[in-house]
Amino acid sequence: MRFGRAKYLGLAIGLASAFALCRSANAAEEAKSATAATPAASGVKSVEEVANQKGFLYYPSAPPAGKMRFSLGATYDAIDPAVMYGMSIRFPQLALDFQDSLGKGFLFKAHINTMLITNEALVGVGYNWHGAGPWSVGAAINAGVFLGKLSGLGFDALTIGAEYRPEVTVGYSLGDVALSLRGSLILIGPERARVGDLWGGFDNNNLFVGHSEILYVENTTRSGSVWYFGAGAMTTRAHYAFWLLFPDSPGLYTYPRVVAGYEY
Amino acid sequence: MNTKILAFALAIGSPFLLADCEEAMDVSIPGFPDGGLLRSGAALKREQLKTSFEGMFKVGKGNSLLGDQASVITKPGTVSVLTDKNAGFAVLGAACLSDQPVQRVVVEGYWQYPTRSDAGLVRLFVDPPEVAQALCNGESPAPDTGLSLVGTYGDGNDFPTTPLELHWSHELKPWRGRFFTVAHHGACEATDHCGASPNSIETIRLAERIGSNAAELDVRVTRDGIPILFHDPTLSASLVRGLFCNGLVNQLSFAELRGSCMMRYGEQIPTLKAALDMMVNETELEGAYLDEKTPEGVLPSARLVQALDADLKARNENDDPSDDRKFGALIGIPNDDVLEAWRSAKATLQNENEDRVKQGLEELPIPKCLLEYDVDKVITEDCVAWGPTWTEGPQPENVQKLREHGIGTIFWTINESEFLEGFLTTSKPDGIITARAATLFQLYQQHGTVPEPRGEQP
Repeated sequence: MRFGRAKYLGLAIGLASAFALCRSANAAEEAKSATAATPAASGVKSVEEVANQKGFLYYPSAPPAGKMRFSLGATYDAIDPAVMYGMSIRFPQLALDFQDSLGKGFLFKAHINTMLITNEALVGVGYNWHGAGPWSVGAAINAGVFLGKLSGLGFDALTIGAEYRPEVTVGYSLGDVALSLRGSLILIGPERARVGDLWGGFDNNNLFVGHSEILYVENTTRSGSVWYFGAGAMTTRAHYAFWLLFPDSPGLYTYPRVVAGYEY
Repeated sequence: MNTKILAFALAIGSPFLLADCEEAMDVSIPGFPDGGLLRSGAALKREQLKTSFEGMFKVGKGNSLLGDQASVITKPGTVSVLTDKNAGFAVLGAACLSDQPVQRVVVEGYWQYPTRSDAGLVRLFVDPPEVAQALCNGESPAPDTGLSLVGTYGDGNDFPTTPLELHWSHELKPWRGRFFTVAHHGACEATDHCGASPNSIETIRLAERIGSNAAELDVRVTRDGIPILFHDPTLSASLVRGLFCNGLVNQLSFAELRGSCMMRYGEQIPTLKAALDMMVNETELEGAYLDEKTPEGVLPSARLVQALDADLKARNENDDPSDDRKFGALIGIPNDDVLEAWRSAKATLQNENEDRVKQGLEELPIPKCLLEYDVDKVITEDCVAWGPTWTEGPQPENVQKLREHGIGTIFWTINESEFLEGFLTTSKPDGIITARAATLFQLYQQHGTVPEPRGEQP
C-alpha cells in the first residue's frame, strides 16, 4: 500500500476542497452571472469570454469557426520504480497542442508529447457542448502514433505502434478559472519493436494499454491567453510507462501525473 | 482568489485520490488440501526422474494450458513441465502409490502463468501401467513414445477436472553444460506473481525448477562489507518491506539490514555466500553470473568465488568423475568502474597466491570474469564470457568473433518470445538471461543450436 497514507491525505484535501467548492459554488455562480459577459474587475477575462473567443484547450468550449489555440506545456509522470526496474531517474515530457474550431462545437485537435526518446503524436476531432451555465461537456477521438527510439547508451532500439485515444471532459466554470476533469482511454496496436536488425512483437500486447483521469485548472489572463496546470492519475501497462526496457508484465500500474503549460 | 486556491487544492489532492495502489500481490500457489496423493506415496529417486521422464512431450489434451508441445525436465524431487505459452510451467512431485490394488505413479503439483497470476492444480498418472510398475520396482525405464502422463488440471485451489494428457515424443536437445538459461535475478521479475522475491534464496530454487540452469544475481555490499543480493541502490518499496527499512543499502550494516528489512514476499535478504552455498549444495544449477552493482563488491565477491572454486576442486578430486559437482561463478563487469575494481581485486588475489607459494601452500584459483560491454575488452581482460545487452540487437558477428577466441556470449535480459527466438536463430549464443525461463527452454529446444562443449569449466 505504497500510496496508502498519501491517499488518505489526498482524500482529506479533496473532501475539504469539495466542501469549500459547495460553499463557494453559489457565490461563484452569482458572480459569474454578473460578470459572465463582461471583463472581471481585475481586467482578467472571464471563462465565458475566453470560451466564446479562442476557447480553452481543456474546458469544453465552442468558439467560432476558425479560432485557433496553440499550447506549450510539460508533463511529468512519477512512475513506480517497480515498473522501471528500479531506475529512479524521471524525465519530464514536452507537450504541444493545437486546436482549430470548426464551428458549432466541433474542433480539430493535434497533440504531441515528447521526451525525445518517447513520443506520441495524435490528431483528432472533438465536439463540445457549452450551455449557458457553468457546466460544459466534451468528447473527442484522437488517433496517431506511439514512437520510441534510442541509438546509444546501450540501445539500438525502436518501438512503434498505432495509438487511439478517446476522451471525455466535464468542465465547470468558477468565473475566471475553469476546472475540467478529463478521462482518456489509451489504446495502442498493433505495436512492433526493433533491436539491431531484429524486429519482433510483445508477448502481452493488448489494445487496451491504460486510462488516465486528470483534473485541469485553466486560468484566464487579461490578454485572453490561458495558463494551466493539472494533476491526476495514469493507469497504464509498464511498456507504455517506460518502453525502453520492454518490461513484459501485462499488469496495470497507477502513477501520478502533473502537467502545466500556457495556451496562446 | 479563493477559487484559485480551491482549484489548486483540488488539483493537488486529485492524484492521490485517483491514484490507487499498485496491483495487489494476489499470489497464491495452489496446493492439494490434504497434501495430495504424494503424501501417501513413495517418492521416486533422482535418477528415476532423470532417466524416465525427461523429453519433449506432445500435448494430447490440455492444449489451452500448454500449447501443442511441452518440455519435461527433472530436478531433485521434482518434475517440471515447461511451455512457451505465457511462460507457463508446472512443478510436480512424483511418487509410487503402492497401497492400491494396482501400483500407480502419481505426478502432481501446480501449474502457473507467472505474468498473470493464473495458477491451478495438476494431477497426472504415468501410463502405461507397466512403466508405472517398473518405476515402483525401483527401475528407471528409458522413455519411449509409449510413455504418457494422463490426468487433469484445474484453476486455483479447485480440484482438477480438466483433462490433460502428455505423450513422450523425442529426446531433448543437450542443454546441461552447453546452453545456459540464466534466471534474471531469480525466477521472475518484480512485477510478476511467482510468490518469490527477486534475488531471494526461494526464487533461485524456483528458477531451477522452471527451466534455468544458471542464475544472474545482483551483488551489493553493506556498510560493513558483506556482499548481499539486492538490485537497487536504495531499499525501494518495490523490493522490500519493513517500517524501518529505508535508505541506501550501503549505509546499513548487515545486522541493521537483516533486523529491519524483509523482501517483498517476506524472505530475508540473502548474503552472496548463502546464495552460492545453496546453489552448490541444494540445487543442480551450473552457474552464477554475479552482476556487480558497485566496485566495492568486487573484491569480497571474488574472495567468495575463490573459496567456492577451491572447495569444489577439493570435492571433485575423486576417482569417479560422474560424482563431480560442476559449478562456475563469474564476476560480472558492467562498466569501467567495476572493471578497475576487478583488475585491482585480481592483482590482490595474485599477490596473495605468490605469498602462499612462498609459504609452500597451493595457489588458489583466480575467479573468472564476464564483461558486459566492450567486445575487445572481453578479450584483453581475459574474460570467459561476454554479456551484451539485447537492446543493441543480436550482433552475430561479435558473437562469432568471440567464439573464435573461446569466449561465450550470454545476452541480457530477453523476456519476449519473438525476440528470444530471433536471438537463438540469429546469434546462436551460449546463453540468455531471462525471467521467462520456461519459454526460453522450450524455444531453445525448438529453434536453438547446441553450443560446443566447454570442457571441465561450465
